[in-house]
Amino acid sequence: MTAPVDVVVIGAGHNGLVAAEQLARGGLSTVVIERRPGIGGAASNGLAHTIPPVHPALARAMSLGGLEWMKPDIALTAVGADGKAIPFYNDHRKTIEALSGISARDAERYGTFVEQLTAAVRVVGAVLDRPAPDMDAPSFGDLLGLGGAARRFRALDRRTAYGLLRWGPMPIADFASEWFGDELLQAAIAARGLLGAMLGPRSAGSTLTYLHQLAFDPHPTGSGLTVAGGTIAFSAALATAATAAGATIRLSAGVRRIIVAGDAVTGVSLESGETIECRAVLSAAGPKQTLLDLVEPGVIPPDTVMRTRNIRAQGVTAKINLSLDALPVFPALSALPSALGGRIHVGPDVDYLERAFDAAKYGGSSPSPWLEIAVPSTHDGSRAPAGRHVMSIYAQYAPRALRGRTWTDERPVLLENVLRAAEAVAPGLRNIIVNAEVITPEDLELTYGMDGGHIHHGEHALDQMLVARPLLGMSGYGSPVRGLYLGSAGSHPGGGITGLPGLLAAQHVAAQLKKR
Amino acid sequence: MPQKYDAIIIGGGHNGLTTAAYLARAGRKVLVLERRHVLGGAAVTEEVFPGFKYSVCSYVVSLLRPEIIRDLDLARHGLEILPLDGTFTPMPDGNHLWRTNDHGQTRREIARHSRLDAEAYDEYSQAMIEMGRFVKPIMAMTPPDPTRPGLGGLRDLAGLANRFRHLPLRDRYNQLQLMTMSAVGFLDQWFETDVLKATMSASGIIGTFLGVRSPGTAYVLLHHYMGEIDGAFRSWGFSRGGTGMVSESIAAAARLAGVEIRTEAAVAKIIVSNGTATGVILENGDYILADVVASSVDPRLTFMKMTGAEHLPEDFVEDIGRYKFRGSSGKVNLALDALPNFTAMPGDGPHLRGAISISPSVDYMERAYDDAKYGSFSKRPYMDIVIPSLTDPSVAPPGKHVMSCFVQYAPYHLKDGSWDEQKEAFGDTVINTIAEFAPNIRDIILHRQVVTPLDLEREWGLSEGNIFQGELTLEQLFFLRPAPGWASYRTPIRNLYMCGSATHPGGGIMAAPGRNAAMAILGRGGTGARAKQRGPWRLPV
Repeated sequence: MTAPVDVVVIGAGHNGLVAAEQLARGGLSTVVIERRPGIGGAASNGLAHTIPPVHPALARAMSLGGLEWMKPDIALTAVGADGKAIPFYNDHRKTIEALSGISARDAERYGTFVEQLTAAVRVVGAVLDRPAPDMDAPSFGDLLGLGGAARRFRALDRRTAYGLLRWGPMPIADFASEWFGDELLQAAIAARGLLGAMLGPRSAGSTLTYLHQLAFDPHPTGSGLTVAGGTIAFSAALATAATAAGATIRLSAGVRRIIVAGDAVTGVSLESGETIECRAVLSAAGPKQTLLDLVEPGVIPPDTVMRTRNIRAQGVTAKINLSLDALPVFPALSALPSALGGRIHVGPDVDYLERAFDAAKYGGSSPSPWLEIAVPSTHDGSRAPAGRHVMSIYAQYAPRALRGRTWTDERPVLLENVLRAAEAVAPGLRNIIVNAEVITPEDLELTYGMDGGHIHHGEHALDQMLVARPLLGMSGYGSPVRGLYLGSAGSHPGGGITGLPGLLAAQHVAAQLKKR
Repeated sequence: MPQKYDAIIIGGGHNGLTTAAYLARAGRKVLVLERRHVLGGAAVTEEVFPGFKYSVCSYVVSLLRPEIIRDLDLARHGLEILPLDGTFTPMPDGNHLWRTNDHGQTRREIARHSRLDAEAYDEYSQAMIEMGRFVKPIMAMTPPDPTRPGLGGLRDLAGLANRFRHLPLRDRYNQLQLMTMSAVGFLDQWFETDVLKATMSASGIIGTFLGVRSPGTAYVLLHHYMGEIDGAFRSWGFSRGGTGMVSESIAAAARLAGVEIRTEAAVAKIIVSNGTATGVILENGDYILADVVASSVDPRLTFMKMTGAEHLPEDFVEDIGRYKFRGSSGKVNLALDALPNFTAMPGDGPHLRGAISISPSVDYMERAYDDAKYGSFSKRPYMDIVIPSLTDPSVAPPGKHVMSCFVQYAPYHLKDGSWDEQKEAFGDTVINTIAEFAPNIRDIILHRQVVTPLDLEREWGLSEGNIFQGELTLEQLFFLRPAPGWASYRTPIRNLYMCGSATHPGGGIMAAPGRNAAMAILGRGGTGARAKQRGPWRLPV
């Protein structure tokens, strides 16, 4: 019988760790239980190869010392057919200069694009760094927050304001082509709106997911930040902060059940049979897993169960990790020596991305997938032995629910398709591969506990955001069970390595426990 | 000395005529100018082949606003809506889905496919009616401009928000989902029967360049239920004599109110002096003056062709430039010697009197879309087929029939070749597809009229062949239709108004834009700073 604690946090991913740090620092005895032998969840080297800039709200809440941040000169380079390459620098002037060699018009518009978008996403940001407003009984804070957002909205020049209203529902393909003429440029912009989404560039609403990404990292293609040691080093810093604040982190400890007596949580029972009594449970596992699997059936009202089942969360992103015994060669990048400091986009035009999506619509993985490639070992010696390299690849589309096949059958097919697509820009890649790890959406669900293997624990769609994330009437981090709180990417403000859902959930839990 | 009118209406379609009628009833001297030899625009009946009267473009009456039918007393002017009962969906395996207006019968039919879905169908219908109740008032409202709503606009927006807040949670959820989700995504939550989801979701893509799985296609599902709320009359049906009779009856009401209507009077230019519209110049050189010019043709024609960018703000020109038309549908009208015989339900019968939907599965719909995405018409298109002559014998010679096939996808922009080259191939594709379900079709065709998106543009003045004068997608609806800041039926040109389907609430034989525009012109409709300007006649509200 383990000693009772105030709060059990389920999952030691970035949200769970941030939540634990906040709770512990607030004087609540907190234990984090993680099923896997290591911390980090999705925020580990096996999965995420970049991290958005630390959000001011998180920076205010906790100190993340000792991290060596690396901001690449070129954030992303889009490589097209016949050796064409478009570098997106972190210094926009250099991007504009590079674009002027490709299309004078696009180069000229890029500046305005960055300007309008940066202004627009500030408004989006204003509603993403605080709890979603309660529609039924807006609190003073809600009104304040909405007021702030409204103020920022009114502060926009009218073009941008109208833009913001129009963009959200648009297909990212239309959005990109409204701004730019070059197909490769369009594809590189569009791709960022598709990461993790069961949407194609011609699906309405894909611009919303783009704006959501930009709210946390306003660079048009993402600024491609990394930390020395890789993403796991970021999680380690969170873990250190959490333990320093007094939280306990227990690895290889999976939850079997969240124990509910009457209408309130009394503890959790672990797969080991051990029970931990607690006043509250903050789950950084997905809302579906939490409400449908971890809570005894019958406890959650049928209507909520039904709505939870209907949360759209079908993962489409696969992750490939390659160990290489030499530096891969990208002919298209010969003139861009600093390109490998950032990421490489593979997907020459919008039609290519759309066709990749078509396969997923019919329950198959893309014969020609869209890839985002990083070779972190080129700028972080700690990632591979001298002369050797690691290559990290996001590949889409790889739908969680295959038709007529299992992921066991599909795994080698996926790898083959990814390597074919990668060799189109890095010929001879196969010859230098020492080892290849394929992480399918099935792995993301079963191993990493992501709902539906979806990297955001649920689509970033208009009907699954803000007051409707994870469910309408449940956006305040609470649940139908007293003492059970949801603080994963499946809660507001959603996915991405931001720690914000965990942060906001923890603040809510602390406030609730004070009341009781 | 040129003639002088209070108002000139460009375009004699159902919306233009509606605006004209309302203005004339308010005592204005109104002239309607129609380019073609017949009135009606896309709501037109034409005897393409002797004895066979086609509703050439739009083919069913959908959501024609009851208040307009009452105000203009359209029944007295010859409007008669005949029932369009149900939707019959044949399937390749010989099975079918046949939904009718008889809820109980439909429930039993759905139960044949899935008991669960039959249960869900009651709940679904009820929910949709609730949703429709919420949405309906929005159709008759002038959209406020959210960036400068003005008091009236704020009141309207607050009113909407408040009505929303007071819906039961379940309805709020449905509403939110309806406005944002894909038709299939929404239906997936209710039903498991593929053919049911495919057929229902079809209404969500009509007139758009989206697939049934694309977010934003769900809300049109509502339209099919709004009719039930309108009650009194049938909002889905055939107009006796074809959809042209809708226009004819409105025209009759307009004439009675004193409106002068000229056909074969094409407008070349809208006269603009110091930012104010003062009249029009016809292609024959005549010019006619008026206090107000209201255009029911689409924004591209109104502003780029008739007005001229030089008179318009740069931003506005840019917005109109990117306003999306990209027509995605065509029409094939057939004259038949006998009735088609569907393998899934042989022989004549009531199933032929409603709509016949070629939408056997969601994948079928998606694959039809895939062809269009890459620039060719669907190899096996979605079709919405009606045989009006079964309900209204007046449109075909005795024993013969007219069959109207709405066909999607037929993208205006083809990757290879032109529509003039592909026209007949497109027609053949349609016939071959029908033949897969009704093999006798080839033997009973007397005449065939193929209407491509290019034809819709050239002959009916619908830019890029979009049947709704612009896609009905979220970013082009409500306060964004046709351009942000200009959803108030007004334009950057003083005394120039828009009154066609390119304005809120959009396309279909609703006539709501025509009526709302008339109210705005009379200074009675709008909200928000701009709309608060009175019409040129300084009428009391």
